[in-house]
Amino acid sequence: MSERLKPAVRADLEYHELDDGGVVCDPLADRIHTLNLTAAYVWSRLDGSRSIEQIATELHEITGVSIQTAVTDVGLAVERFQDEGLLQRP
Amino acid sequence: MTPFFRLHSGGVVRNGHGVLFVGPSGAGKTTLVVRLVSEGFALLSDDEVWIDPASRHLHPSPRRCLLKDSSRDLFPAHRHKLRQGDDQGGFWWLDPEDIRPNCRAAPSPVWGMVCLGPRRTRPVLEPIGQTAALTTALGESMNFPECRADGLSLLVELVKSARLFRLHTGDLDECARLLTAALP
Repeated sequence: MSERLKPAVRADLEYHELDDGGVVCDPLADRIHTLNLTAAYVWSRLDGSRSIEQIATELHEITGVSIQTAVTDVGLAVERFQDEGLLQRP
Repeated sequence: MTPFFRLHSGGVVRNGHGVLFVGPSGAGKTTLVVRLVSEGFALLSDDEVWIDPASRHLHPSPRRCLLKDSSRDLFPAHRHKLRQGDDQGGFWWLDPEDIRPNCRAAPSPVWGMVCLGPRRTRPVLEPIGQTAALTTALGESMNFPECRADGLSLLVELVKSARLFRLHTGDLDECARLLTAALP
């Protein structure tokens, strides 16, 4: 997935934030997804206004993880969301 | 009328505080509950707790406790009161009144949720996070499809408001000691 894409989560999903992650309910697929802290952070940034690169930079600045690790983690999270059909189609 | 949310869980109450024991069949729910009720906790259920979606209170289920063969010897004082399950070989019914008279709990708010983990040589009671507790509870929800939207909100609210633990089970005396010390 291109790091310049600006993905957005589907508007019809139910999301609840937790202290250590989050949970997403997909009513169309009849599935529930639990997210760890990093995935929940990425989820909260996927409003279509930020690229994967920008989100990774924010994650790097907030958590202090290396930029390489942040890019990998954000990329994997977005890839998972896309594979699960949780993102809006470009 | 909104149905009660049904959680595959044991549950007890002490001092007005409800505690859930969430885990799959064979995790030790009935054994723990019968032991704690014998020691003075009030009984919600050994296997299925009902949650009122309006008040969020835990309600007792009306059924009797169902002990497995493997647990029967852990309760010598109750052994003569056990009734063999009619069509379920290896299971024994125990009427709550035979554990302790008037031991049924009143509907109560939740104080804590204990997720039952794999057995260890020595039992361990440890705090866990909301995501882990929610994942366990989702897996043990009995009527989630019919309560989907309300059910998820209810469970999220429950894990946000409750103290959350994982109990790696083991020796029953030690488990009871850990729980009695930790619960209010």
